[in-house]
Amino acid sequence: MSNRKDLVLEYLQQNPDESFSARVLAEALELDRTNVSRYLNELYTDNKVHKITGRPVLFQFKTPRTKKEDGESKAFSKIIGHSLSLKVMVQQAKAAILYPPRGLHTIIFGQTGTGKSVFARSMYEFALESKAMSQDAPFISFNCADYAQNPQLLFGHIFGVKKGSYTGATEDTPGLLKKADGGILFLDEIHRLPPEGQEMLFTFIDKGVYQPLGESGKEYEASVQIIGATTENSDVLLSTFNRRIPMSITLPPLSERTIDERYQLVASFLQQEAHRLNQEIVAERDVILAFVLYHPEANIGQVERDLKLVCAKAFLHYRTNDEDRLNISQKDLPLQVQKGLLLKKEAPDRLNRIIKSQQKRFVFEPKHQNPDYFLGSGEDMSVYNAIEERVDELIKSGAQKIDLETFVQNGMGHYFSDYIEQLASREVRKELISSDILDVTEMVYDIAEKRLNRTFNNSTRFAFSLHLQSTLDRIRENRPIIHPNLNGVRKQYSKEFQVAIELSALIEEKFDIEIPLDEIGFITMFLTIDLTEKSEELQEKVGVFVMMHGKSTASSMLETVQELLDTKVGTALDMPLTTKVKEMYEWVRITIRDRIKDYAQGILLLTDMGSLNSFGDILAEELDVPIKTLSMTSTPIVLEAVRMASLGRSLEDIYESCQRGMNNNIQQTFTIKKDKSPAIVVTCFTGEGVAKKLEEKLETEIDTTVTKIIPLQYLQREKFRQRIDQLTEEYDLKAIVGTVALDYSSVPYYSALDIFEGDKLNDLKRHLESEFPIEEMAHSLEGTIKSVGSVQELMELVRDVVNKLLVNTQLQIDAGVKVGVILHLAFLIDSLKTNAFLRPFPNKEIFIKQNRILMDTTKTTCIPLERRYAIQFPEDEIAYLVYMLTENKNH
Amino acid sequence: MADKTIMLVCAAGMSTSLLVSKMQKSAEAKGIDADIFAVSASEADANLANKDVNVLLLGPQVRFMKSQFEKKVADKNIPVDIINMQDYGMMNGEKVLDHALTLM
Repeated sequence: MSNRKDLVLEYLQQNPDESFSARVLAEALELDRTNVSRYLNELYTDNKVHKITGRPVLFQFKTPRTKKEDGESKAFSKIIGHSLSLKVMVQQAKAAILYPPRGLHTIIFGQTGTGKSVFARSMYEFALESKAMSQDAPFISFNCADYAQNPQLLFGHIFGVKKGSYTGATEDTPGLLKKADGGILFLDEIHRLPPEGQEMLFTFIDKGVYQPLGESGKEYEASVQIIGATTENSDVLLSTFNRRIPMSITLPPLSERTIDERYQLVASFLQQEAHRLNQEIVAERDVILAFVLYHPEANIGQVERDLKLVCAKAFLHYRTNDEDRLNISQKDLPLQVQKGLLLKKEAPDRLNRIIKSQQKRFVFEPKHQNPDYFLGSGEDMSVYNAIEERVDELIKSGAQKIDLETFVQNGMGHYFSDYIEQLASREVRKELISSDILDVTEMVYDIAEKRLNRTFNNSTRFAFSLHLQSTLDRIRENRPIIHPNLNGVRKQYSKEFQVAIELSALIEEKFDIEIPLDEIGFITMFLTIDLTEKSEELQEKVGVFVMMHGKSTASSMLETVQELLDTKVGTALDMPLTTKVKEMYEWVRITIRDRIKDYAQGILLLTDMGSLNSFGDILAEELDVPIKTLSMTSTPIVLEAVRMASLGRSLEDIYESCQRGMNNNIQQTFTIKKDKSPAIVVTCFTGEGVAKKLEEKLETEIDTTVTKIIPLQYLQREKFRQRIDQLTEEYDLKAIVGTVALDYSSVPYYSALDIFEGDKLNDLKRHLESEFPIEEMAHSLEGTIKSVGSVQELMELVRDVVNKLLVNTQLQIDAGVKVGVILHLAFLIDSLKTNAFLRPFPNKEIFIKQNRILMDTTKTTCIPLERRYAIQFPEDEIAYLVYMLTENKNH
Repeated sequence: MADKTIMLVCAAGMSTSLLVSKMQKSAEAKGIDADIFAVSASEADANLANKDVNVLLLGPQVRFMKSQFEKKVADKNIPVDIINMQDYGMMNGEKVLDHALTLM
């Protein structure tokens, strides 16, 4: 617990200039909001953070009051790195401004994009702040490259033009030097100044006097501090300027800035964009990493441009897909930026402390307190305006279909198949669906079956009746619904669409309502559902690549798997520790490229750690092949991936299945101790309709003083999953009950129907039962098992082995089943000791082959029992044990 | 032929046999003429065919077989249930017997 609180404090500490709401922090750290809110209030009580009241309440790190540094200036504090890499430069700049009587002329050296202009501007602000110059002192900025083709004009522009000095000079024109009198003249790219100009400038620097173009006798005076800037670093130039200009400041290239500064640069820019767009920006961890690590040729300036580009892309997604914020993911990054991820391995350790591995997403919220950031050059909103216009145009012309179609395929497809699959086939209770709706459903489907000459099963019908109920509610409450691809559905399934129109007319008549066209689109989709066609076999198979560090880790892991499954599917690429990341990348790229035609269905990369994890997205972009990556791979994951790939399953399918296996693994390994209180999540689309009914029903069935019931809205799969993730931190989730199935690794799902029908409800209740006290079991067996000495000891040993077995095999069984298994094992040991008990397991060889890993795990886990009681479990019995566990496992 | 035939099924028929003896004791005490026996899952089919079983009880560790058995005995009108975890863990013959009788 306190760890998480520290995490919150640390996060605030790292962003001392910003204030956060509990929600933003919760998202950024992937913690539960209520908890975060509690931590924050505790931290406030501990006087560690500021609390800014308002809606929402904001919190900010409270910098401990130490002796304040003298002359801490606001002007420079905005500059990222002012107290790190730029500390010396800032001191130089301050000296240059404060040097009596009127400051020192200064030249700033630095590569393109190192921030010279911003630095000069800060010097000016410091001059005002420190009262070295009067508050109305001017700051004139000029880029000498602007008139470089016309030296005369350039000279005149800076020093002024005397009337008649050349044709067209009809009157005296004051130069920039005159305009800058009393203030600062900033001359960017000062090396572009022609020789005469340089001479005149040096005269001014030495004596404080100058002559405009065409003036021969009179000298003019001005009190101006010159700040020059140049990217040039030729020795000749340097020595000239160094000799004539008293103060020279060199700004370091980005590669010499610290990792902290690079992070701050990226963060503050995104913060600024969020503010400008008045919209939350969420960036994946890898996005931030890539930006912090890559090598931009043009330093900060390029980082800024690249970030802008990425934000513009995100803005485009946001507008076209109607997202509720700007999401930046790795695939949005320019290739050059993505390549930063290849440098992860070489990155300093410090990086992991700034960009924590557990922080998956970085949230930047628009701030309403005036942000005054270093990267100040972006008042230009034209990119966003252009996108905005374009999207509007597209929407008007209806040309956005392509994007929406993919959305329907990926998003809606899941929604429907899952929705339906989980609804059992029995008649539903009246509590949930009123009989008139059930009647209409039957009628509708009878017609549909005739018209379409196809049959629909009960679970589809039930799903439809649930849907119909919510549709009626929605229409009666005048809530609109939009089908994202109405036209597509109409064209693709014209026959079903026709039937849907007919059915809608029937429904309209029965319920005296008006069904909108979009709704007909949904009904059409219900008619197109065919559960049997779900996992189509692919002709071409997905490529599975195992890539790991070490001389033969990957190849031997794949070999094992191929042998187990008797297949040749899969490719192993070993990365000996001597191999450089870039070499490895090239090798992988070429390997895939050479057989690119075979990978039309995509590639799954199974990696162990480090830089290998970031190959996927870059490869996908370079080779234009769908690629997914799973890191921290282990043999069972490779086994699952290869198995599914050889069955011809789709990339998405394989990826999800493996990921589930992995979650399972991690959860089981790390959360064995459970002192969390049990809870059940009830859910539906609205969070109040069906969920409410479920809650009422469950309250009568289970002991709510022990098990908490949590209603939750299910709008979108990923968001829901995230909420469940958060809840599992706090609760021991026993079940998810609702209308839409969520295949969540460790928490079984029950449909609403299950709860209103007795059987599955009993399952759930059994699942909630707590462990049965082993002492009582031992007591009841006392005197019946005679061959083993202490029955109590036997039972405890057996229980420990069974617990271990469940962890090692990653299987979950109910408490009741566990009692049975424990008893079974206890009696088995007794039988093995007293007589040569033997019963054959039917089709043993096949079973063993199919369950090789489980068999091995079980056998090994049981060894302590064999040792203690000097017995040997026959292979048949191990098979029975495996069978018992797998058949009884929860989902 | 006894009045009531109760068949218990578990993985190997071992753990339930102890329960059977306790149930038999309880039946005697109550003066109930009951034939109670335990079999392993693989022997169950043969017994179902030969004996006129009135109730079928499953050990919790073979709970997954419940639907299989329900199908098998669907036409015979034999109730199938799983032995309560508590009673099974405690080898409470009396309670299991009572439960079996209520199912008939």
